Amino acid sequence: MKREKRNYNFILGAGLILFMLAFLLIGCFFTPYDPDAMDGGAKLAGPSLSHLFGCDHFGRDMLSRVMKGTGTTFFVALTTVALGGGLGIFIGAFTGYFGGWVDEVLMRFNDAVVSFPPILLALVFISLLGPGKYNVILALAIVLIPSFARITRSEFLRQREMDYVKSARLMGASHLRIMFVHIFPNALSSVLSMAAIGFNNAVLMEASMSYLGIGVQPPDASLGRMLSESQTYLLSAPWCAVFPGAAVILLALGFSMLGDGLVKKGGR
Amino acid sequence: MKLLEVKDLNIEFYDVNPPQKVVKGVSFSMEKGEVLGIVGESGSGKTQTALSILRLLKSGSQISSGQIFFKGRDLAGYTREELQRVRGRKIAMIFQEPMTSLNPVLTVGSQIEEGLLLHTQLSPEERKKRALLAMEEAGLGEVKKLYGKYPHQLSGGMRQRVMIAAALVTEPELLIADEPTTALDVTVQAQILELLKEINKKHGMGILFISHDLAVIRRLCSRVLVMNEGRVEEEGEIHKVFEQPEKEYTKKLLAAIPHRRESLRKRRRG
Amino acid sequence: MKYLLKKTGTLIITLIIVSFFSFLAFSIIPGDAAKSRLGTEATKEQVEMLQKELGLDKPVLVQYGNWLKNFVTGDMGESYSYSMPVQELLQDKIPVTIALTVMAFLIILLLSVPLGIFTAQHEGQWLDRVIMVLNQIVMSVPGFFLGILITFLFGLVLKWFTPGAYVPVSESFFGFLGYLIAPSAAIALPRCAMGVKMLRSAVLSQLEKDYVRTAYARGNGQRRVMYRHVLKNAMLPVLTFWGMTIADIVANSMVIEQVFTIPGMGSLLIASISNRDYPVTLGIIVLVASLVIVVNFLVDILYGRIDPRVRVRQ
Repeated sequence: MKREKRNYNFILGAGLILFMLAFLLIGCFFTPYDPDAMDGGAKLAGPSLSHLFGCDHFGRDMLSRVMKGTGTTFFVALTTVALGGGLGIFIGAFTGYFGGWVDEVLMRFNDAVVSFPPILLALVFISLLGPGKYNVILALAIVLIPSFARITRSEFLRQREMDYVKSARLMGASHLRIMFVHIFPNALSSVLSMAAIGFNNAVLMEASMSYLGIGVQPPDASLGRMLSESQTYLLSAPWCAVFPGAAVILLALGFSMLGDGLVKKGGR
Repeated sequence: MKLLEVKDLNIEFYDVNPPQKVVKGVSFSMEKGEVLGIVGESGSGKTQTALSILRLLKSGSQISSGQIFFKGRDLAGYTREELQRVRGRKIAMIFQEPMTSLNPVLTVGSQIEEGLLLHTQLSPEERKKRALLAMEEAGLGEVKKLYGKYPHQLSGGMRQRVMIAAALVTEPELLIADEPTTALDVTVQAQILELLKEINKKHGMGILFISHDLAVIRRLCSRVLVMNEGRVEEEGEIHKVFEQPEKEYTKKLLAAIPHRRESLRKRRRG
Repeated sequence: MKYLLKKTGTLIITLIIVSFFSFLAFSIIPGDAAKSRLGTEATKEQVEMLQKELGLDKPVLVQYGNWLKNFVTGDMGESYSYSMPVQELLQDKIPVTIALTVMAFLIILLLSVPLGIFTAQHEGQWLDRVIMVLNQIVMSVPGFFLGILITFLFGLVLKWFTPGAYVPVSESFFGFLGYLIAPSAAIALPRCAMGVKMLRSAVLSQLEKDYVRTAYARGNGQRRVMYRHVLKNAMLPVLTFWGMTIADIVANSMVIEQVFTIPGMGSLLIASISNRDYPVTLGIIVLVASLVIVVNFLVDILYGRIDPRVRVRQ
């Protein structure tokens, strides 16, 4: 009866992500120029028909570089969420389902970790592991584990007392089967919105660390590094900052809207 | 002059599609010091009627037509400031859920005093004195200790007494009580009803008592209004309605009472 | 009082655990500090002598104890790459980071509280919608990119400040604060947007509560209902958010300092990470972590002061 409000967050967020996904997938197979090819005549050239996003200080085509860089950022975010989310869900599922002192200890630890700013934790791990793409993935994944574990745990804690779980147990289903076949689908909606938030965080943190020079290293194209390089030529070539920055924002915005949309969907 | 007179009141929920009428042409009136009961099942529009008197309807519902006269003046014609002066000063209200109707982060004392703070020029000491008096009158013990406590430290019955003390403190002429005993257990319920009766006698305060429970209404009210699906089904003296109900609906409601009693007794025994 | 004691106990335990793990991570895992300081050409005797001097031959717990004792008295060891005591390196950097944090936090408070209340009061109206859309966008802008945008617009185009021309506090106090406005705005705005969102939804959920109806029934006006009744309740979740925000600002100021070439703790931390200068990294990490823990402690205390339910339950 009540007038349904359209879930604009979900629609727009999903749209943005699909758009960026298309943009970077094209970049995997085709870019207008070689992203590393330098053209001495086109140094800091403004946007034009031949270079839609302009060129950087080496005369490299920005559109091609932004395509590649978006790909790197997305790859890092995806693997980070897969790794950190996967581990977090696993830990949360077990501690939530079985409880006991392991749960108690792990959750205390979790609470302590969650209160630290993620970027600080990521910096700690990077300083131990050293810079580089795969270390960034590892560091960010570790940072994401607690929040996934927490949300999965609370869902499992709630669901395990429900009748459908009890009846599954009576039917003789194994613990693992109950956890992942029976309970997990019910926890999916909150885990999914957590994943969207995780993506958003990973994108922003990867960009920040690459900007600081301790993230993705050359020759991998990275949006953060492009932004850091653009600062020297900011007045003469603002496009070198605007387009990589816009790519980061659109990705982050897409995921944060998707997250809000999923929360709203789950709430209904 | 009547204390309260409601004429052809209509209330509509307009945030549903299509808009839904929940109160349809309700009229009734109350004399000074009278205790009037409104009885009906949930969804009968009795709570909406009560809320509309002080214009406390939730956004999404509104009075679509009708008039509400308080001592001869139409409340609909009041400005927001005038309305604020009536609320809590001339007409006070208590609600069904004593658990959630008090602000959890303010002390009991400050919530009881608030009416005085808003509507009088009394000094803080005088306000406190009157608040303590009202608390005693509402049957709260150890009032000085209670004064500085927070709602969550009190039982449901005590909280409802706090609500009543907060309503009493400004000595209003009309108290609207919306299912004040429903959330309480039976013994506490009886105590609260006794309390309301006493207050009515002592101060001559009119009480508009809303309940789904005819048995409760009978213990307190002199006259009753039976509501069903937004309409007044039957109106009359409490004895008349109970002993010679005219409408089928009222009969059905009455038939439900002993059954309820029975089950309650069973529950208490078991 | 009991609540306070319990919280203080937790505070001390947390501080010890966190500093122990940081110590373990940065002094033990990276390998032998004596070897890395002397280089590969050092003789065995030289290494052993330095190990003894640094106390590296003792058990880990003893080493930690010594380090903690020194740390508390202000001795944080010696930097590898600068060959000077860490505390001397940090001395004039800490105030810069603190100033940046305080300014950013003030901006967040001054903007997000009125906006949060305003948007909640005007929920669904066009101005609320416009603000919420802007909000959503600002939330997704990384602070350092916002810094670049601010540099471009206000520094290079409008010339309100000179990018890169940092003014030390010793030169001019107001010049120093003036230069910090742009970077603190860059840190503050995304968090401000989150703050608006949090406060708005907290206020909206409180407005649904029964006690609000009671307050109106008692004759409160809209303003009084908001400021006396609703806000105190709505502040509770927001308070936790603010505590986390302070920690978040400190961490992110490390990034922003790089954008505006401010010589604060952040620049030093990034340099020490790149140079594998572990004593410096350890010192900064433990300082910032302690700050985070202390802020959380203060938030807990404040929470207890506002919410009577917390105090009694403990």
